[in-house]
Amino acid sequence: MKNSIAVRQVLPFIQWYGLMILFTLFFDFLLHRLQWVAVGRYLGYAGTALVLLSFLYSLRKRKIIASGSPKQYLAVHEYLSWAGSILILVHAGIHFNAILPWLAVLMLLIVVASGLTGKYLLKKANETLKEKKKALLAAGSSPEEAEKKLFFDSVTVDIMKKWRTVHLPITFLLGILSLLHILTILMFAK
Amino acid sequence: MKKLYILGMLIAVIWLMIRFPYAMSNPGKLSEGHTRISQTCESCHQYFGGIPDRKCLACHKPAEIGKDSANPEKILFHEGLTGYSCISCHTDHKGTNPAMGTSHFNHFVLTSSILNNCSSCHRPPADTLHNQLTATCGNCHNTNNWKNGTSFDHNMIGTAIRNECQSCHKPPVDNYHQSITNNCQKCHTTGKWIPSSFEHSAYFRLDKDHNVSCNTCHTNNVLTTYTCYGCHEHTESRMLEKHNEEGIYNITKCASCHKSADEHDIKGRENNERKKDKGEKREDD
Repeated sequence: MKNSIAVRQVLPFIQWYGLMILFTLFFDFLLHRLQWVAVGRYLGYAGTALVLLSFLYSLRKRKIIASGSPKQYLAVHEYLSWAGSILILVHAGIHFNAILPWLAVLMLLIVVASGLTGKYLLKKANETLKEKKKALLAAGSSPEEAEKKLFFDSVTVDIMKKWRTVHLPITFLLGILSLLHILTILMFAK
Repeated sequence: MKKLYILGMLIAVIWLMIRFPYAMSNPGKLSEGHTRISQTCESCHQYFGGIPDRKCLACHKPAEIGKDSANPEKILFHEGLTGYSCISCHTDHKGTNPAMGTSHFNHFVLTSSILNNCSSCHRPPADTLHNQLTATCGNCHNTNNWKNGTSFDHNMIGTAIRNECQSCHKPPVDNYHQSITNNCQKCHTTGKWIPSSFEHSAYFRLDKDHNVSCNTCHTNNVLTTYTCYGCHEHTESRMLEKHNEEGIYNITKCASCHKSADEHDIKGRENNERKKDKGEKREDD
Protein backbone atom coordinates (compact mmCIF):
# COMPACT_ATOMS: atom_id res chain seq x y z
CA MET A 1 0.00 0.00 0.00
CA LYS A 2 2.90 2.31 0.86
CA ASN A 3 4.16 2.32 -2.75
CA SER A 4 0.79 1.82 -4.40
CA ILE A 5 -0.22 3.80 -7.48
CA ALA A 6 -2.91 5.53 -5.47
CA VAL A 7 -0.32 6.97 -3.09
CA ARG A 8 2.38 7.73 -5.68
CA GLN A 9 0.21 9.19 -8.43
CA VAL A 10 -3.33 9.83 -7.21
CA LEU A 11 -2.23 12.00 -4.31
CA PRO A 12 -0.10 14.35 -6.49
CA PHE A 13 -3.08 14.59 -8.84
CA ILE A 14 -5.29 15.66 -5.93
CA GLN A 15 -2.71 18.28 -5.04
CA TRP A 16 -2.93 19.80 -8.55
CA TYR A 17 -6.70 19.78 -8.41
CA GLY A 18 -6.57 21.24 -4.91
CA LEU A 19 -4.30 24.01 -6.16
CA MET A 20 -6.97 25.03 -8.65
CA ILE A 21 -9.56 25.21 -5.84
CA LEU A 22 -7.16 27.13 -3.60
CA PHE A 23 -6.36 29.67 -6.35
CA THR A 24 -10.09 30.10 -6.90
CA LEU A 25 -10.77 30.72 -3.21
CA PHE A 26 -7.82 33.12 -3.00
CA PHE A 27 -8.90 35.21 -6.01
CA ASP A 28 -12.51 35.18 -4.82
CA PHE A 29 -11.40 36.38 -1.39
CA LEU A 30 -9.22 39.06 -2.99
CA LEU A 31 -12.07 40.40 -5.14
CA HIS A 32 -14.36 40.63 -2.12
CA ARG A 33 -11.64 42.15 0.04
CA LEU A 34 -10.80 44.83 -2.53
CA GLN A 35 -14.50 45.36 -3.30
CA TRP A 36 -13.87 44.41 -6.92
CA VAL A 37 -16.70 41.88 -7.04
CA ALA A 38 -17.98 43.37 -10.31
CA VAL A 39 -14.74 42.20 -11.97
CA GLY A 40 -16.00 38.62 -11.48
CA ARG A 41 -18.50 39.11 -14.31
CA TYR A 42 -15.69 39.82 -16.77
CA LEU A 43 -13.61 36.88 -15.54
CA GLY A 44 -16.37 34.72 -17.04
CA TYR A 45 -15.59 36.13 -20.49
CA ALA A 46 -11.82 35.80 -19.97
CA GLY A 47 -12.08 32.22 -18.66
CA THR A 48 -14.36 31.15 -21.51
CA ALA A 49 -11.97 32.72 -24.03
CA LEU A 50 -9.03 30.79 -22.55
CA VAL A 51 -10.94 27.51 -22.58
CA LEU A 52 -12.08 28.08 -26.17
CA LEU A 53 -8.50 28.90 -27.17
CA SER A 54 -7.36 25.64 -25.60
CA PHE A 55 -9.58 23.77 -28.08
CA LEU A 56 -7.03 24.54 -30.79
CA TYR A 57 -5.58 21.20 -29.68
CA SER A 58 -8.80 19.42 -30.67
CA LEU A 59 -8.67 21.10 -34.06
CA ARG A 60 -5.04 20.02 -34.51
CA LYS A 61 -5.83 16.50 -33.39
CA ARG A 62 -8.62 16.24 -35.93
CA LYS A 63 -6.27 17.72 -38.55
CA ILE A 64 -8.48 20.78 -39.09
CA ILE A 65 -5.32 22.69 -38.25
CA ALA A 66 -2.49 21.13 -40.25
CA SER A 67 0.63 22.72 -38.83
CA GLY A 68 2.30 22.71 -35.41
CA SER A 69 3.44 20.07 -32.99
CA PRO A 70 0.44 18.22 -31.47
CA LYS A 71 2.46 17.84 -28.26
CA GLN A 72 2.76 21.60 -27.96
CA TYR A 73 -0.93 22.03 -28.74
CA LEU A 74 -1.68 19.52 -25.97
CA ALA A 75 0.46 21.46 -23.50
CA VAL A 76 -1.33 24.68 -24.47
CA HIS A 77 -4.67 22.89 -24.08
CA GLU A 78 -3.76 21.69 -20.60
CA TYR A 79 -2.47 24.97 -19.23
CA LEU A 80 -5.02 27.29 -20.85
CA SER A 81 -7.98 25.17 -19.82
CA TRP A 82 -6.64 24.87 -16.26
CA ALA A 83 -6.14 28.66 -16.01
CA GLY A 84 -9.47 29.33 -17.73
CA SER A 85 -11.21 27.00 -15.28
CA ILE A 86 -9.89 29.03 -12.36
CA LEU A 87 -11.24 32.25 -13.88
CA ILE A 88 -14.62 30.63 -14.55
CA LEU A 89 -14.79 29.27 -11.01
CA VAL A 90 -14.02 32.72 -9.58
CA HIS A 91 -16.69 34.13 -11.91
CA ALA A 92 -19.20 31.58 -10.55
CA GLY A 93 -18.35 32.41 -6.93
CA ILE A 94 -20.17 30.66 -4.14
CA HIS A 95 -23.68 31.93 -4.86
CA PHE A 96 -26.33 29.25 -4.89
CA ASN A 97 -28.94 30.66 -7.23
CA ALA A 98 -29.84 29.48 -10.73
CA ILE A 99 -29.33 25.74 -11.28
CA LEU A 100 -28.12 26.07 -14.87
CA PRO A 101 -24.79 27.80 -14.18
CA TRP A 102 -24.22 25.51 -11.21
CA LEU A 103 -24.67 22.45 -13.39
CA ALA A 104 -22.12 24.01 -15.74
CA VAL A 105 -19.69 24.50 -12.82
CA LEU A 106 -20.17 20.89 -11.75
CA MET A 107 -19.42 19.71 -15.28
CA LEU A 108 -16.36 21.96 -15.38
CA LEU A 109 -15.03 20.35 -12.20
CA ILE A 110 -15.58 16.87 -13.65
CA VAL A 111 -13.93 17.82 -16.96
CA VAL A 112 -10.86 19.22 -15.19
CA ALA A 113 -10.62 16.15 -12.96
CA SER A 114 -10.84 13.78 -15.91
CA GLY A 115 -8.37 15.89 -17.89
CA LEU A 116 -5.88 15.85 -15.04
CA THR A 117 -6.30 12.09 -14.83
CA GLY A 118 -5.22 11.81 -18.44
CA LYS A 119 -2.34 14.22 -18.00
CA TYR A 120 -0.82 13.19 -14.72
CA LEU A 121 -1.94 9.73 -13.86
CA LEU A 122 -2.57 7.28 -16.62
CA LYS A 123 0.84 7.10 -18.32
CA LYS A 124 2.80 7.03 -15.07
CA ALA A 125 0.39 4.57 -13.51
CA ASN A 126 0.73 2.19 -16.46
CA GLU A 127 4.51 2.39 -16.26
CA THR A 128 4.53 1.79 -12.52
CA LEU A 129 2.22 -1.20 -12.87
CA LYS A 130 4.44 -2.76 -15.55
CA GLU A 131 7.60 -2.13 -13.47
CA LYS A 132 6.04 -3.69 -10.40
CA LYS A 133 4.86 -6.72 -12.36
CA LYS A 134 8.31 -7.12 -13.93
CA ALA A 135 9.96 -6.91 -10.50
CA LEU A 136 7.61 -9.50 -9.01
CA LEU A 137 8.19 -11.91 -11.90
CA ALA A 138 11.95 -11.40 -11.63
CA ALA A 139 11.72 -12.16 -7.92
CA GLY A 140 10.24 -15.54 -8.73
CA SER A 141 6.52 -14.92 -8.42
CA SER A 142 4.25 -16.68 -10.86
CA PRO A 143 2.12 -14.49 -13.20
CA GLU A 144 -1.00 -15.42 -11.17
CA GLU A 145 0.68 -14.47 -7.88
CA ALA A 146 1.92 -11.19 -9.39
CA GLU A 147 -1.57 -10.32 -10.62
CA LYS A 148 -3.02 -11.15 -7.21
CA LYS A 149 -0.51 -8.91 -5.47
CA LEU A 150 -1.15 -6.11 -7.94
CA PHE A 151 -4.94 -6.40 -7.83
CA PHE A 152 -5.52 -3.01 -6.18
CA ASP A 153 -3.15 -1.25 -8.59
CA SER A 154 -4.77 -2.93 -11.61
CA VAL A 155 -8.21 -1.75 -10.52
CA THR A 156 -6.89 1.81 -10.08
CA VAL A 157 -5.38 1.80 -13.59
CA ASP A 158 -8.58 0.37 -15.10
CA ILE A 159 -10.57 3.22 -13.58
CA MET A 160 -8.05 5.76 -14.91
CA LYS A 161 -8.28 4.30 -18.42
CA LYS A 162 -11.89 5.47 -18.53
CA TRP A 163 -10.91 9.14 -18.27
CA ARG A 164 -11.55 9.91 -21.94
CA THR A 165 -15.00 8.34 -21.84
CA VAL A 166 -15.84 10.93 -19.18
CA HIS A 167 -13.75 13.85 -20.48
CA LEU A 168 -15.23 14.20 -23.97
CA PRO A 169 -19.00 13.83 -23.36
CA ILE A 170 -18.90 15.93 -20.20
CA THR A 171 -16.96 18.61 -22.09
CA PHE A 172 -19.74 18.57 -24.64
CA LEU A 173 -22.36 18.88 -21.90
CA LEU A 174 -20.35 21.70 -20.34
CA GLY A 175 -20.42 23.45 -23.71
CA ILE A 176 -24.21 23.12 -23.97
CA LEU A 177 -24.79 24.35 -20.42
CA SER A 178 -22.39 27.26 -20.92
CA LEU A 179 -24.13 28.24 -24.15
CA LEU A 180 -27.52 28.14 -22.43
CA HIS A 181 -26.13 30.20 -19.54
CA ILE A 182 -24.77 32.80 -21.96
CA LEU A 183 -28.06 32.77 -23.86
CA THR A 184 -30.12 33.42 -20.70
CA ILE A 185 -27.74 36.24 -19.76
CA LEU A 186 -28.14 37.83 -23.21
CA MET A 187 -31.91 37.41 -22.94
CA PHE A 188 -32.36 38.84 -19.48
CA ALA A 189 -29.33 40.88 -18.50
CA LYS A 190 -29.56 44.61 -17.99
CA MET B 1 -22.90 4.66 -28.41
CA LYS B 2 -21.05 7.90 -27.63
CA LYS B 3 -23.38 9.81 -29.93
CA LEU B 4 -26.36 8.38 -28.05
CA TYR B 5 -24.91 9.57 -24.75
CA ILE B 6 -24.47 13.06 -26.13
CA LEU B 7 -27.94 13.15 -27.65
CA GLY B 8 -29.41 11.92 -24.36
CA MET B 9 -27.65 14.64 -22.39
CA LEU B 10 -28.73 17.32 -24.84
CA ILE B 11 -32.35 16.22 -24.57
CA ALA B 12 -32.11 16.07 -20.77
CA VAL B 13 -30.79 19.62 -20.51
CA ILE B 14 -33.37 21.03 -22.91
CA TRP B 15 -36.13 19.20 -21.01
CA LEU B 16 -34.90 20.68 -17.73
CA MET B 17 -34.90 24.19 -19.23
CA ILE B 18 -38.47 23.76 -20.49
CA ARG B 19 -39.80 21.96 -17.41
CA PHE B 20 -38.12 24.17 -14.76
CA PRO B 21 -37.29 27.46 -16.54
CA TYR B 22 -37.26 29.65 -13.41
CA ALA B 23 -35.29 27.30 -11.20
CA MET B 24 -32.77 26.77 -13.97
CA SER B 25 -32.15 30.43 -14.80
CA ASN B 26 -33.47 32.60 -11.96
CA PRO B 27 -30.40 34.25 -10.39
CA GLY B 28 -32.08 34.92 -7.03
CA LYS B 29 -35.29 35.73 -5.20
CA LEU B 30 -37.14 38.91 -6.13
CA SER B 31 -37.77 41.63 -3.56
CA GLU B 32 -40.90 41.38 -1.45
CA GLY B 33 -42.96 43.76 -3.59
CA HIS B 34 -42.14 41.89 -6.78
CA THR B 35 -43.01 38.42 -5.51
CA ARG B 36 -46.24 38.27 -7.48
CA ILE B 37 -44.37 38.72 -10.78
CA SER B 38 -41.67 36.19 -9.97
CA GLN B 39 -42.96 33.78 -12.65
CA THR B 40 -43.30 36.36 -15.40
CA CYS B 41 -39.84 37.51 -16.42
CA GLU B 42 -41.21 39.70 -19.19
CA SER B 43 -42.85 41.96 -16.59
CA CYS B 44 -39.46 43.61 -16.18
CA HIS B 45 -37.21 42.07 -18.85
CA GLN B 46 -37.45 42.68 -22.53
CA TYR B 47 -35.89 39.67 -24.21
CA PHE B 48 -32.47 40.63 -25.56
CA GLY B 49 -33.27 44.26 -24.65
CA GLY B 50 -32.34 44.52 -20.99
CA ILE B 51 -34.71 46.22 -18.57
CA PRO B 52 -36.26 49.27 -20.21
CA ASP B 53 -37.54 52.06 -17.95
CA ARG B 54 -41.02 51.80 -19.44
CA LYS B 55 -41.40 48.35 -17.86
CA CYS B 56 -40.74 49.84 -14.41
CA LEU B 57 -42.83 52.94 -15.05
CA ALA B 58 -45.81 50.79 -16.02
CA CYS B 59 -46.24 50.15 -12.28
CA HIS B 60 -44.12 52.80 -10.54
CA LYS B 61 -45.06 56.46 -11.14
CA PRO B 62 -42.07 58.66 -10.19
CA ALA B 63 -44.28 61.24 -8.45
CA GLU B 64 -45.79 58.53 -6.28
CA ILE B 65 -42.72 56.50 -5.43
CA GLY B 66 -42.46 56.35 -1.67
CA LYS B 67 -45.69 58.16 -0.84
CA ASP B 68 -46.99 55.20 1.13
CA SER B 69 -43.70 54.41 2.86
CA ALA B 70 -42.95 55.07 6.53
CA ASN B 71 -40.57 57.88 5.58
CA PRO B 72 -42.06 59.38 2.41
CA GLU B 73 -39.73 62.39 2.51
CA LYS B 74 -36.85 59.96 2.16
CA ILE B 75 -37.97 58.70 -1.20
CA LEU B 76 -40.05 61.48 -2.77
CA PHE B 77 -37.23 62.75 -4.91
CA HIS B 78 -37.66 60.43 -7.86
CA GLU B 79 -39.73 62.91 -9.82
CA GLY B 80 -36.79 65.30 -9.98
CA LEU B 81 -34.46 62.67 -11.37
CA THR B 82 -33.91 62.98 -15.08
CA GLY B 83 -31.38 61.46 -17.42
CA TYR B 84 -30.93 58.26 -15.48
CA SER B 85 -32.48 54.87 -16.05
CA CYS B 86 -34.13 53.04 -13.16
CA ILE B 87 -31.40 50.39 -13.16
CA SER B 88 -28.76 53.07 -12.51
CA CYS B 89 -29.73 52.64 -8.87
CA HIS B 90 -32.12 49.71 -8.65
CA THR B 91 -31.70 46.03 -9.26
CA ASP B 92 -33.43 42.87 -8.09
CA HIS B 93 -32.94 39.13 -7.57
CA LYS B 94 -30.93 40.00 -4.44
CA GLY B 95 -33.38 38.50 -1.94
CA THR B 96 -36.73 39.57 -0.53
CA ASN B 97 -35.37 42.57 1.39
CA PRO B 98 -36.04 45.60 -0.89
CA ALA B 99 -33.01 47.45 0.53
CA MET B 100 -30.74 44.89 -1.14
CA GLY B 101 -31.96 46.08 -4.54
CA THR B 102 -30.56 49.60 -4.22
CA SER B 103 -26.91 48.66 -3.83
CA HIS B 104 -26.16 50.38 -7.16
CA PHE B 105 -27.37 53.72 -5.81
CA ASN B 106 -24.90 56.53 -6.16
CA HIS B 107 -25.43 60.01 -4.78
CA PHE B 108 -24.33 61.61 -8.05
CA VAL B 109 -27.81 61.16 -9.51
CA LEU B 110 -29.31 63.51 -6.92
CA THR B 111 -29.90 67.21 -7.46
CA SER B 112 -27.74 69.55 -5.37
CA SER B 113 -30.72 70.66 -3.23
CA ILE B 114 -31.29 67.05 -2.15
CA LEU B 115 -27.60 66.30 -1.96
CA ASN B 116 -27.00 69.17 0.48
CA ASN B 117 -29.82 68.13 2.75
CA CYS B 118 -28.59 64.81 4.12
CA SER B 119 -31.22 64.62 6.84
CA SER B 120 -33.98 64.48 4.23
CA CYS B 121 -32.90 60.86 3.68
CA HIS B 122 -30.53 59.99 6.53
CA ARG B 123 -31.58 60.06 10.16
CA PRO B 124 -28.87 61.87 12.16
CA PRO B 125 -27.20 59.64 14.77
CA ALA B 126 -28.83 60.07 18.18
CA ASP B 127 -25.61 60.09 20.20
CA THR B 128 -24.33 62.84 22.46
CA LEU B 129 -21.79 63.99 19.92
CA HIS B 130 -24.16 64.41 16.99
CA ASN B 131 -26.98 65.85 19.13
CA GLN B 132 -25.06 69.03 19.89
CA LEU B 133 -23.61 69.54 16.41
CA THR B 134 -24.87 72.35 14.25
CA ALA B 135 -22.35 72.07 11.44
CA THR B 136 -23.40 70.48 8.15
CA CYS B 137 -22.81 66.75 7.75
CA GLY B 138 -20.48 67.32 4.81
CA ASN B 139 -17.90 68.88 7.11
CA CYS B 140 -17.07 65.42 8.45
CA HIS B 141 -18.72 62.95 6.08
CA ASN B 142 -18.80 62.43 2.37
CA THR B 143 -21.10 60.43 0.12
CA ASN B 144 -18.45 57.93 -0.93
CA ASN B 145 -17.90 56.50 2.51
CA TRP B 146 -20.07 57.61 5.39
CA LYS B 147 -18.01 56.21 8.23
CA ASN B 148 -14.44 56.21 7.03
CA GLY B 149 -14.36 59.11 4.60
CA THR B 150 -14.35 61.58 7.45
CA SER B 151 -12.40 64.75 8.02
CA PHE B 152 -13.57 65.27 11.59
CA ASP B 153 -12.41 68.39 13.39
CA HIS B 154 -12.78 68.53 17.18
CA ASN B 155 -13.19 72.31 17.01
CA MET B 156 -16.69 71.79 15.65
CA ILE B 157 -17.93 70.38 18.94
CA GLY B 158 -18.66 72.41 22.05
CA THR B 159 -15.99 72.90 24.72
CA ALA B 160 -17.92 70.96 27.34
CA ILE B 161 -17.98 67.76 25.26
CA ARG B 162 -14.54 68.39 23.77
CA ASN B 163 -13.09 68.10 27.26
CA GLU B 164 -15.03 64.91 27.94
CA CYS B 165 -12.89 62.63 25.80
CA GLN B 166 -14.38 59.51 27.36
CA SER B 167 -17.84 60.39 26.08
CA CYS B 168 -16.60 59.31 22.63
CA HIS B 169 -13.24 57.60 23.12
CA LYS B 170 -12.78 54.39 25.05
CA PRO B 171 -9.89 54.79 27.50
CA PRO B 172 -6.95 52.41 26.92
CA VAL B 173 -7.18 49.35 29.13
CA ASP B 174 -3.61 49.30 30.42
CA ASN B 175 -2.92 49.76 34.09
CA TYR B 176 -1.53 53.26 33.67
CA HIS B 177 -4.47 54.69 31.77
CA GLN B 178 -6.95 52.97 34.06
CA SER B 179 -5.51 54.89 36.99
CA ILE B 180 -6.11 58.27 35.27
CA THR B 181 -9.51 59.91 35.10
CA ASN B 182 -10.60 62.77 32.88
CA ASN B 183 -7.21 64.22 32.30
CA CYS B 184 -6.46 63.03 28.78
CA GLN B 185 -5.37 66.47 27.56
CA LYS B 186 -2.33 66.28 29.79
CA CYS B 187 -0.75 63.86 27.32
CA HIS B 188 -2.98 63.84 24.23
CA THR B 189 -4.19 66.49 21.83
CA THR B 190 -7.19 66.51 19.51
CA GLY B 191 -4.80 66.98 16.58
CA LYS B 192 -3.22 63.58 16.97
CA TRP B 193 -4.10 60.90 19.50
CA ILE B 194 -0.99 58.79 18.90
CA PRO B 195 1.77 59.58 19.69
CA SER B 196 0.71 61.38 22.81
CA SER B 197 2.45 64.48 24.07
CA PHE B 198 3.45 62.61 27.24
CA GLU B 199 6.93 63.76 28.21
CA HIS B 200 8.83 60.77 29.52
CA SER B 201 11.91 63.00 30.03
CA ALA B 202 10.11 64.64 32.93
CA TYR B 203 10.61 61.31 34.74
CA PHE B 204 13.53 59.75 32.91
CA ARG B 205 15.23 60.65 29.64
CA LEU B 206 15.17 57.70 27.22
CA ASP B 207 18.64 58.30 25.84
CA LYS B 208 21.51 56.03 24.80
CA ASP B 209 20.68 52.42 25.69
CA HIS B 210 17.43 53.40 27.37
CA ASN B 211 15.46 53.79 24.15
CA VAL B 212 13.86 50.37 24.62
CA SER B 213 10.36 48.95 24.64
CA CYS B 214 8.14 50.01 27.55
CA ASN B 215 7.97 46.47 28.86
CA THR B 216 11.72 46.40 29.59
CA CYS B 217 11.21 48.70 32.56
CA HIS B 218 7.44 48.64 33.04
CA THR B 219 6.90 44.91 33.28
CA ASN B 220 3.52 43.21 32.88
CA ASN B 221 2.05 46.31 31.18
CA VAL B 222 2.00 48.16 34.51
CA LEU B 223 3.10 51.69 33.65
CA THR B 224 2.84 53.07 37.18
CA THR B 225 5.85 51.09 38.42
CA TYR B 226 9.21 50.31 36.91
CA THR B 227 12.39 48.37 37.48
CA CYS B 228 15.94 49.10 36.38
CA TYR B 229 17.15 45.63 37.26
CA GLY B 230 15.87 44.28 33.96
CA CYS B 231 19.18 45.46 32.46
CA HIS B 232 21.31 46.60 35.36
CA GLU B 233 22.23 43.29 36.82
CA HIS B 234 23.99 44.53 39.95
CA THR B 235 22.66 43.06 43.16
CA GLU B 236 20.50 45.21 45.35
CA SER B 237 22.70 44.64 48.44
CA ARG B 238 25.80 45.82 46.60
CA MET B 239 24.02 48.93 45.32
CA LEU B 240 22.59 49.64 48.75
CA GLU B 241 26.09 49.50 50.26
CA LYS B 242 27.39 51.87 47.59
CA HIS B 243 24.52 54.33 48.11
CA ASN B 244 24.83 54.13 51.90
CA GLU B 245 28.30 55.63 51.53
CA GLU B 246 26.54 58.70 50.07
CA GLY B 247 24.00 58.75 52.88
CA ILE B 248 21.24 57.30 50.71
CA TYR B 249 19.31 54.49 52.32
CA ASN B 250 16.26 54.06 50.04
CA ILE B 251 17.19 52.90 46.54
CA THR B 252 13.88 51.46 45.42
CA LYS B 253 13.06 54.42 43.16
CA CYS B 254 16.15 54.88 40.95
CA ALA B 255 14.49 57.46 38.66
CA SER B 256 13.69 59.76 41.55
CA CYS B 257 17.45 60.63 41.52
CA HIS B 258 18.83 59.29 38.23
CA LYS B 259 17.13 61.14 35.38
CA SER B 260 19.04 59.80 32.37
CA ALA B 261 21.82 57.47 31.25
CA ASP B 262 24.34 60.04 32.48
CA GLU B 263 25.43 58.69 35.85
CA HIS B 264 26.30 62.22 36.98
CA ASP B 265 22.82 63.50 36.13
CA ILE B 266 21.44 63.23 39.65
CA LYS B 267 18.27 64.98 40.70
CA GLY B 268 18.76 67.92 43.11
CA ARG B 269 21.54 70.47 42.88
CA GLU B 270 23.22 69.39 46.10
CA ASN B 271 23.30 65.74 45.14
CA ASN B 272 24.26 66.58 41.61
CA GLU B 273 27.28 68.61 42.65
CA ARG B 274 28.28 66.00 45.19
CA LYS B 275 28.17 63.30 42.55
CA LYS B 276 29.99 65.44 40.03
CA ASP B 277 32.78 66.11 42.56
CA LYS B 278 33.01 62.40 43.21
CA GLY B 279 33.16 61.73 39.49
CA GLU B 280 35.91 64.26 38.92
CA LYS B 281 37.86 62.81 41.81
CA ARG B 282 37.54 59.38 40.31
CA GLU B 283 38.68 60.67 36.96
CA ASP B 284 41.66 62.37 38.67
CA ASP B 285 42.51 59.10 40.30
